[in-house]
Amino acid sequence: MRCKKLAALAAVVALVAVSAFSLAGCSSTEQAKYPTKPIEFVVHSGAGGAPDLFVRTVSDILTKQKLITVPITVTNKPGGGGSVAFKYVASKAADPYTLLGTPSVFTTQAIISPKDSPNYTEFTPIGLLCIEPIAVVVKADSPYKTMNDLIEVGKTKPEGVTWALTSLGSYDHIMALSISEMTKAKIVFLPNSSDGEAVVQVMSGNADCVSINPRGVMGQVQAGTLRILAVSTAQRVSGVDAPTMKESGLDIATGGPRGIVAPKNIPADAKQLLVEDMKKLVETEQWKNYLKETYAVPANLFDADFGQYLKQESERVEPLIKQAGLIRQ
Amino acid sequence: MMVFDNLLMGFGHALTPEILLYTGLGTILGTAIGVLPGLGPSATIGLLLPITFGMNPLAAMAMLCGIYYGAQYGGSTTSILLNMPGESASVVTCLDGHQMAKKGRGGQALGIAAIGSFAAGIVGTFLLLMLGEPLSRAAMAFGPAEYTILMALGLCMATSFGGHQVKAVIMCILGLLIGTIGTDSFSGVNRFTFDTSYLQMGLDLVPVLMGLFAMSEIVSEIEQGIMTNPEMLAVSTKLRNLLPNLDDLKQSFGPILRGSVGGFLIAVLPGIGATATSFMSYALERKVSKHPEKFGTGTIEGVAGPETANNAASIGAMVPLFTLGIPGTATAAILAGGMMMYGLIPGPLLFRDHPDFIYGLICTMFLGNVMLVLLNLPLISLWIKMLKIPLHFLYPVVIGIIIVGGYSVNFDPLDLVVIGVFGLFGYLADKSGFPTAPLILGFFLGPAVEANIRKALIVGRGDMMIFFQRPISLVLMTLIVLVLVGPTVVGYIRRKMFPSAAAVNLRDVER
Repeated sequence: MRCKKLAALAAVVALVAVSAFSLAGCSSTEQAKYPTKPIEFVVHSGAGGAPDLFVRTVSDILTKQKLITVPITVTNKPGGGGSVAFKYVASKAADPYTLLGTPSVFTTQAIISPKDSPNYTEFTPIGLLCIEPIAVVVKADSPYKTMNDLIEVGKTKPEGVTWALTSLGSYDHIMALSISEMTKAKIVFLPNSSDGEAVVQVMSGNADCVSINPRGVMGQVQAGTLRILAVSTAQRVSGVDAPTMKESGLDIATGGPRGIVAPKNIPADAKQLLVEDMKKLVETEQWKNYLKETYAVPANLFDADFGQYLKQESERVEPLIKQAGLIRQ
Repeated sequence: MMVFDNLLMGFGHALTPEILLYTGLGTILGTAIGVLPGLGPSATIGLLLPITFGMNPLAAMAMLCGIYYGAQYGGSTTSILLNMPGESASVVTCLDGHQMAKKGRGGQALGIAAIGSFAAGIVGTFLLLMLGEPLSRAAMAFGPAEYTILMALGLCMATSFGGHQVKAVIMCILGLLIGTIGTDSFSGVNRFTFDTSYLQMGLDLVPVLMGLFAMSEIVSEIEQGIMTNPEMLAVSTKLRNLLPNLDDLKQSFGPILRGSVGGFLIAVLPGIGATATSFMSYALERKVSKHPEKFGTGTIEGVAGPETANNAASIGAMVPLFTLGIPGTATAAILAGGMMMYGLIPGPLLFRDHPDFIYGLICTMFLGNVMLVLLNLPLISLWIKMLKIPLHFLYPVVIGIIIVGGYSVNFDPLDLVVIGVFGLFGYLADKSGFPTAPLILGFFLGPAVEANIRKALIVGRGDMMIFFQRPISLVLMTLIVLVLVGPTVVGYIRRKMFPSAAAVNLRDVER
């Protein structure tokens, strides 16, 4: 009996010693290696919305695939049209433990409200993962069969086309503004406070069309009560039977960008690791599933390429926003 | 009898241990967050949603929906016990519910709230099953012009919450003004923000409610020397003595019936949630009541109507989501996002392509409501015991809960300042006879009325005739005119014809 107990004790001591040594070994060689403490992943809107789902999916994949081994906590910082979250992350300069999921308003908010919202130069671009298409949707029994029908009415009827939007200054608003500028069609905007409300405007016959993420209308499109005239992305969207804007004769390729940024001046090794992780993330099955279920198209622009994209987008949308009179003093 | 076949199949799916477990879990969680102020159903569902991915979709949705309608059961509890609305849909419950509690009839108030909610849940779910699609198609005839008039009709009810009529109108207008604070979503202009980023989003409803109702109540109790009402102490905590008696049930039958059908129908319109519905129900009950002067003093109809209506509304709000894929409320939008992630596209095809899911879900709503009433009725004696805690022990805890609850909505310390300011304001208003419910009505409906007027004018290209040209808007407009002018005209004619009865009728009109 005594012998057995001693043996057990020795085994325990050995186990503890081995694990202590291996831990010590770890900390001496990998002390500086990022990441060593929990990462905070910030969402600019409330829990449960599309931006929140994006960030939670990304952090779930990073954890499940063991790309990031430290805990990732998702925090929602809604308010100020996104500026509360943007300001918070920008204030964490050089801290690689705070990340931000960038919605489409990431580019526009800094232009609309320059006093309250930091612009893209305050952040380190990590990766642009996908683009959410914007669909132009009409009632199935409406006379509009193509984008051209809609534009023709905008050009010929003095009252123009009534176009329901999800909100003013959103990416779908900017797209409609550039269509109006290109074709000289008269478009009257009907802003709403939610996607659901915007769809109702078309269903009730108060608006001719609505620009919206296909997700919000697919149920009715499949049932044949609504029709998608075109999608905004460069390529067709899988699962959506509609031409692109380019195929419809409009030189437009846009959509709501979803990416990830860190505060500026983070250490080079941390940035490198995050970029590599994102490159691995977009290859996973779970990510491909997310793209399918949200009707998003892959973007896969990383590091400096994403930075370049943000710069170009800001330059492209600024005059349109200015022209629409949306800039707040 | 397709529906009954489907219903049988649905119960087959719902009556499995897994689904029952999650439905039960959802209803318990819902009751808890409904009782606790601050954290509402939409935030809770949003936080739980990512955890449910990978779960059986029916189990996940049964739980999330359980949270949604369960919160309406719990919401009334703190309104009745402490004059503290757990969420905005329970504001009007304070008016009579808290008065009932003060008279030692808190158990009956809680009981009728649970029974009304149960009736609403069953009637609402049944209507959803039978009339879901045709109703939501009909709701699609409502555009900005119709919404404007419907909400204006709601504003006309400002004088229906007791107190001096002129003072009620003043408070309603003040509420409208407070509702304009923030960035105007049509032009991006900042209104009354004094260059602060806090005010840009406008004031949040929860801190305003906490201040105006709960804090002001505590302040005025302190002024009266925080004495526990002897009637409250004398109440027996035996459950049998706390439940509503036959008389209570008889009085509440009408309000519960009107509340469940009316609340359901109004909430089918996307964008009109449980809060507006409960206000409308209270006003309606007061209008049809034989003794409207008793409203506000602790009459059971004032609790039964709104508490039924807000629960019916939470089921009604599911109708446009399930049948058309259009979420009518913020919570429904989160549920829609969840369904997408389970690979189920909400919309007309849901009933055809996934009958096992949707009928199963509807059946869990029946079961969930049964669970809720079984859970909530026995809890009443526990709540009533809480009322016997000496107030100088109870109130510090309540203030702590108010502060934590108010802070947890946005994690912004300035919200606590708002609670304080509105607490003081609510106390002063109470003292000088200004009713606070109309202020909430104005504050809640004001921004929606404004947005819809402007949308209607955009659609009509600036022509006011849009409010009269569309058939539904014309009918609603006529209704408003009747509500506003009707009583005066009728009173005038009566006075002319029967001068002797003039005095009586005059009082009738003043009401």
